[in-house]
Amino acid sequence: MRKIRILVAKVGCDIHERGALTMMTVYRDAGMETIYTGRFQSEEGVVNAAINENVDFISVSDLTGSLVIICKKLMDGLKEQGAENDIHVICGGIITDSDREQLEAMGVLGAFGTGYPAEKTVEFIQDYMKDKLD
Amino acid sequence: MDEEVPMEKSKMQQLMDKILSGDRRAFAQGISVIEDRRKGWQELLNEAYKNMNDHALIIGITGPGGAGKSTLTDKIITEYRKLGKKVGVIAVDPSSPFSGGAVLGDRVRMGTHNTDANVFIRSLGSRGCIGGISEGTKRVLYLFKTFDFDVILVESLGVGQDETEITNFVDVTLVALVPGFGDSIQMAKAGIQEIGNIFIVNKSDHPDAELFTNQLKFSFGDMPVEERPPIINTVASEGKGMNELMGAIAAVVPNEYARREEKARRRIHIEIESEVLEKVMDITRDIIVQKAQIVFDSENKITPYDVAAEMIEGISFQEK
Ligand SMILES: Nc1nc2c(ncn2[C@@H]2O[C@H](COP(=O)(O)OP(=O)(O)OP(=O)(O)O)[C@@H](O)[C@H]2O)c(=O)[nH]1
Ligand SMILES: [Mg+2]
Repeated sequence: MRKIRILVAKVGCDIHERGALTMMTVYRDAGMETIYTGRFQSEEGVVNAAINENVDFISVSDLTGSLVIICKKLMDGLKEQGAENDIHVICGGIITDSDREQLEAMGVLGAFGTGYPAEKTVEFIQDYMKDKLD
Repeated sequence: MDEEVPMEKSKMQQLMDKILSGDRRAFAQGISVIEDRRKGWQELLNEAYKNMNDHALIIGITGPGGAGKSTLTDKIITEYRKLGKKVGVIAVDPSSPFSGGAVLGDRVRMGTHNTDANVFIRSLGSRGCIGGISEGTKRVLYLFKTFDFDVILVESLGVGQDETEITNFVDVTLVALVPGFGDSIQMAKAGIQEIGNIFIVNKSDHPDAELFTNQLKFSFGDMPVEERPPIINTVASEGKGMNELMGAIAAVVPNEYARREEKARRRIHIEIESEVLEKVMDITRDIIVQKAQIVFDSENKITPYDVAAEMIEGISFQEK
């Protein structure tokens, strides 16, 4: 059976881990397989991990206000490897309105602020994958 | 002159070609095809089986939860990378029996290798298999054997029972235990002596390490001296004991390579058996439900054995 796979990634020097860990159990309870990179990863490492794990999503969370920079590098890395149509980026954390605009413009599929309910994120993913599960 | 009709290669053959050419994205996608049993998966599995090679040394790492299997795997990868070897890793974590989902956390301990193009780490959920080696893992391992790895590491959760099967799928089995009186002693009691080529007492920074090591040694007491597996003390989180561990692995490899044929035979047997049994269970599942109802309604005039005999006759009839 086709399972939705999500790589939960932490990039750079953000030490906060709770959000990422919470999201993983929520994804698991929704029947998805979620893979954790651990903290302090580089964008290049995350893209490699995502490709090797053949995930549907990279879910990156960050509370240092660096999401735009991180996501840009992730999107570029995926494009470089020709994986941008198969592996999608979503992100969560501190997101300003201008961040959101930039994220959307670069093709990040979803950006969820800190207070956004986890179940809604799951719904978003399930909805997006609805027709793609063969 | 015969007209040559150029045979169009099927999608799965094309995918296999890409994998054989070393395309890591194709390889990663192929794993999903087999693991998820997506369209064409059996064809790909057949292609993998035909194209696999015996080049890689396959090492299984098993042991109770939290023993340090992933940390050890991380350090073993580092050692093989120092030798310039290309390393593939299959890391299995349990799936939730309730949702079917999983949190796969093994690669957290292997994060330093994410930027190394000569290391390929893949996390798998056990998907219904508790302990032992899941069907998915076995099948994915065949695909790994088509990619040009020098070493393949398989981390799986060992819970004592039914662990022997993994030994048929790997060359060397490492059993990682930790000092203390929990799962590790339980495993020693459950007869894991037979499955490990090498026993690792990890977390040897723990005060009970020496005591535990002695207990473990003692539990090998019934075995002939030359068959007793080596015990290596490690502190994986600090990289301590790795030289000793790598030395122990190198020492058992020749002996285990000599057993490759014997293991290959057993694998073939296991594969045919499990495919056939799986199919039989699929076919008979609904019929058994119906028959059970008939037995129940007959108020014991018809027995489960009558019904089973009748069904078995049906199966043997098909055989002729
Ligand atoms: N004190 C000590 N801690 C260790 C040692 N090796 C690993 N650890 C720690 O033990 C914890 C579990 O390590 P893992 O490598 O994830 O263990 P595992 O057996 O792979 O765990 P599961 O895959 O969940 O079964 C981590 O916090 C490690 O840092 C060691 O030698 N000494
Ligand atoms: Mg582990």
